[in-house]
Amino acid sequence: MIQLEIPATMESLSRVRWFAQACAHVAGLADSRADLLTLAAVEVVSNVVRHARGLRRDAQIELTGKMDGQGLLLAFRYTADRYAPIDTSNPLLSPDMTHHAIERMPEGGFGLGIIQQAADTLNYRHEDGVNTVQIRVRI
Amino acid sequence: MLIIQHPTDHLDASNAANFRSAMGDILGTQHKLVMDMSALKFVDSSGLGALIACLRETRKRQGDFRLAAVSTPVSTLFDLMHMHRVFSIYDTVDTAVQSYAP
Repeated sequence: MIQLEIPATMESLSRVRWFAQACAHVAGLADSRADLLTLAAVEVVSNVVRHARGLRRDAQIELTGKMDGQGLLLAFRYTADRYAPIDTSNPLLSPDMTHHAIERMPEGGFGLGIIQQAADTLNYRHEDGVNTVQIRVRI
Repeated sequence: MLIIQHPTDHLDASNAANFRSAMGDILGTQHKLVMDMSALKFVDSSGLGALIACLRETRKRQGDFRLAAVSTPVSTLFDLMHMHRVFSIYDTVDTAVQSYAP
């Protein structure tokens, strides 16, 4: 198991990249899948920093990576109000924006689509004031 | 025509706003640009949004924002997002520069 605790700030994203790459290495993922996992992990944390409600200024996010019978599971735990910016009840979002003309192409808001494409499963739960986002990659 | 190099190996939510700000000054006077992507090893959705903003601004002025030497990890995002349909992407900075020749 790999664990890391980081301040809930954008400045922590380099450590999130390191964490995801380390987990991918332990799991034996190919480089391309490791890159996708890293992308998904960064999008999860930046989503929390940007959108979580009731997040204290000194809030921390606990990152855990472990192998289980279904693959590699990354968990992101943080204390804040219930808020699921990641709506797991929605069907898969396509990050393909190329049907937009360049003048109408969005410049943001596609982080969730990236997470859903990059990870095999995505879950969110809120228990006792603690939010947990989990992404899983099947091995 | 101007060649842009990013000073760090990542363009993500931690620095995309700074990049946009710096590019805002440049885009006011330069409309044909090549972004040397070789040093960039990581781009997230915020970074991609900043690149799209640059492309939009240059296209408004009949210019272009062309990308060169995209690294393999960044290509992973670009493939996922089908960005090869959006940006003109070249293997090297030289070929990107030459593409502007009349």
